[in-house]
Amino acid sequence: MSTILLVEDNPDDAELTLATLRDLGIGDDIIVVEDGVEAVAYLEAHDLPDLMIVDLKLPRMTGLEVLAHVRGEPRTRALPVIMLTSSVEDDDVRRCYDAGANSYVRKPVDYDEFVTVARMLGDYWLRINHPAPRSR
Amino acid sequence: MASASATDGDASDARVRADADTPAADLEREVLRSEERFRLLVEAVKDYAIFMLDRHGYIQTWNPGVRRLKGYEAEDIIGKHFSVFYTPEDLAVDKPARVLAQAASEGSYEEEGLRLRKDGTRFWANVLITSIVDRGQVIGFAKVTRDLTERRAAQAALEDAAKELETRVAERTAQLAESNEELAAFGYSVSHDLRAPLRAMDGFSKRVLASAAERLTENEREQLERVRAAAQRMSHLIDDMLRLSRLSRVDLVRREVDLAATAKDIVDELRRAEPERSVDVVIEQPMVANADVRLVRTMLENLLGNAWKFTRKQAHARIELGCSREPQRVVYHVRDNGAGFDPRYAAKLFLPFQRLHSARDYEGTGIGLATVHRIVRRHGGEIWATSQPGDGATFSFTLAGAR
Repeated sequence: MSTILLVEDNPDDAELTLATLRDLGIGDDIIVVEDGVEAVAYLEAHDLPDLMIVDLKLPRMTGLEVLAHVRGEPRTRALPVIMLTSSVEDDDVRRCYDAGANSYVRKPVDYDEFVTVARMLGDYWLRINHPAPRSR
Repeated sequence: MASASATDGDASDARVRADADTPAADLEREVLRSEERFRLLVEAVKDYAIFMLDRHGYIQTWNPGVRRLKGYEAEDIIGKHFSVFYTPEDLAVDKPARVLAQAASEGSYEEEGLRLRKDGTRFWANVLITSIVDRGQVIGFAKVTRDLTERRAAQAALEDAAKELETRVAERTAQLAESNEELAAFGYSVSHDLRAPLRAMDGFSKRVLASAAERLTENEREQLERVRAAAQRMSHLIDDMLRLSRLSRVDLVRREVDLAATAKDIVDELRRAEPERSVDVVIEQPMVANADVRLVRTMLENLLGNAWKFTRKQAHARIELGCSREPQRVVYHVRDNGAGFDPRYAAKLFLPFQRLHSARDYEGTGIGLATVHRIVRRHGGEIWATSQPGDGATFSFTLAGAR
């Protein structure tokens, strides 16, 4: 049983991401919360998810603030976090990695590209849950 | 004033005797005339208060300027000490005595400062005190005072205006910085928020196309594909707009750029994207410029990309990149033998979102040449284009102002 926490305020984006991840069979349980405050509340009240996918631009508490919070708490510090955003600004990419993102993925307008992105997320998820045996 | 006459007598005696035709009388007449001229001169002067002081600073003479500047009649002031013109602050530091001492030792003393009128009001004055010396002894002083109130008011007005101007420049600069920030925030918001609905349009259309494929007619499928294509076109427009607005904000860093190598890279990419096309590309070697590497690359991508695109219908497509050295500047050019454009519309060529060809014939968002134009202008250069329809186009540009 694996869990993905998706933090996304745009309901269209949330539904597309959710549907695509399900189509691809990624994650047994996908929880969607609408902003950073809810994400932090979820993390405090539940078992940790296996992967967090966080939109950058969120109301109340931004994606970067969520990321900083996750990296700042001993309990959540090692949680894999992928930033999924529509920003194309180089500064945003840098800021996300500086704040400790494991990966940064741009949401494309083209859905075909998005499916590719989702597959990549799935690959990430697989690696986390089924690490390849270490070669000597 | 003492008469030069050796003989004592009244004025009429002197005048009578001056009529006499002797050398001594000539001299006396000359002295009297000179004194009279001096008196008339001093009395006519209204803008300067002119006094003669004795060697202790007591006032001996008056002129109309004294009335005008200081409000004293002759009988008010003759015999008084000149320190009456000084403010209590100046008196407290014994200024009048120091001023006289300096005029005596150095010959003259000049300063600007506040002086008092008879009614106690103050005015800004220029004061010049000159010592009068007779056989090595200071026997008195000439004091000339000028009222600088108006000049000082003008100066103050000028200073106020300058300060006002500075404030306004600071305000405008702050406003500009703010609108720049707003523009950046706007661009960020555009890139994020305008794309989201397009993603939904494209994504849900695709999902319906996939899930309802058997139930949709060919026509319905095509219409959904058109929704998707429109969403993607708009996405490209947004990208181009953002790129264009970012061009104005990035810092320009000049260094030596190998234009020939950059152009070759770009052409290789174009060939990889359309390997079926055969295009002769001639790039002058070597070709360097002192310019911003990234901006110049974007510029060449647009110019060469255009040349590549508009030669598509040519059986023997040919693209040239070269330069010519003029006395004051280097002019670079990109020449092709493609579709060209109607020179009547040349002025519209570099405006954003202006297209001279239909999207059906040649795809594009109409932002490429606007981008090129902005990059050239940011380098202080110029760009112009010449063409005849069907006879290719030449884009010429410089990357610096004329030296």
